[in-house]
Amino acid sequence: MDRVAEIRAFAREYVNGTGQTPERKKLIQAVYFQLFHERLRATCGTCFIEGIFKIIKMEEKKPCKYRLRKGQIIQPFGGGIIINSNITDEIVEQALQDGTANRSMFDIFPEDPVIMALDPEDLPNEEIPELDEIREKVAEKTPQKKSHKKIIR
Amino acid sequence: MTACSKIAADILYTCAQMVAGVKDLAYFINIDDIDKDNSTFDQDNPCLITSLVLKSASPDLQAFRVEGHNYSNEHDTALVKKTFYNSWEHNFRFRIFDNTPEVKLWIKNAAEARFVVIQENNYSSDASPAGRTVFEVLGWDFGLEIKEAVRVAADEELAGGWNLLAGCSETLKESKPPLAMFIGGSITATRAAIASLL
Repeated sequence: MDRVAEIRAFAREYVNGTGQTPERKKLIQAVYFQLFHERLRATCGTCFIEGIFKIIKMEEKKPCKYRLRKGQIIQPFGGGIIINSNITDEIVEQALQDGTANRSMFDIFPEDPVIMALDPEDLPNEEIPELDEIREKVAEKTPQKKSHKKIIR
Repeated sequence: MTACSKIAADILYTCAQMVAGVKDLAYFINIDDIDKDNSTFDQDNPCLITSLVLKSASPDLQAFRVEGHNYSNEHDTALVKKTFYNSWEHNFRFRIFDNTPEVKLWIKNAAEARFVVIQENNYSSDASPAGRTVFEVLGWDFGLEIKEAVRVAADEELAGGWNLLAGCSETLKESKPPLAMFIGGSITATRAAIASLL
């Protein structure tokens, strides 16, 4: 059982006030540090419970298909600071559009995200060599719309 | 050839009360793990890092924390005048309050490595944008190396802990004083960027 699953297993019991052993507190602190890179304050009775909630919430976060390089941050126009622990696909895609992020900031970047998002019909119907390549890629990525390939050409 | 540089600005007294010392928490990064091609500097000031990025590798590369206790970390820097060029000595003294086999292995590995140290000063300048004096990077050009590692079992102050000094090599000194590190235009963003290195 991984450590987060272990915390999840005893979470209810712990929150209800039973089973608050030193070993479990140590485990919560260790996992908290691993996930958030900050110390869990152990100065109040509810600190560990809040820590459990934060850990479980973090684990339930929708997986993001992007991952920033270590040391990189995104500062979206709306404010806030985005690092890997709070990154989401929506934030990244918005940041890419805004210009507050670029390809070189990411370790993991889904291949050709713009092409994936395009509809073949949106592409201009002009004879540009680079566009032919893009058209082919679009057609490959969207098999259900293969018929569009003919229309574009 | 005359001088390669000229003084180009005033420095006026600001009444800022400086605060001595560095924080107990420091960050160590192996010099080879830093992606210098993608790390950036302020365009007007080569002594100010605006982005420090690690290389992509599997498993992930990361920074490592070394935590002292009761202001046990110390730092000093000095200009080293040489015949043709000037260079800078960066020193970082830190203490480890333990002597486990893991600590010994860490020290042994560090003694054979070259690394950059990110330290946090106690002094934070209010001059806008505030916080540019907080984080400093030591050993950016060549990395620091462990120059002293001493453990005196009967030492009363350290109680048998380790006293280590990281500094520039005897031959290769740094080309600049310790670099200021200020990312994303705010101290909050800088802290977030450092947290993301871990």
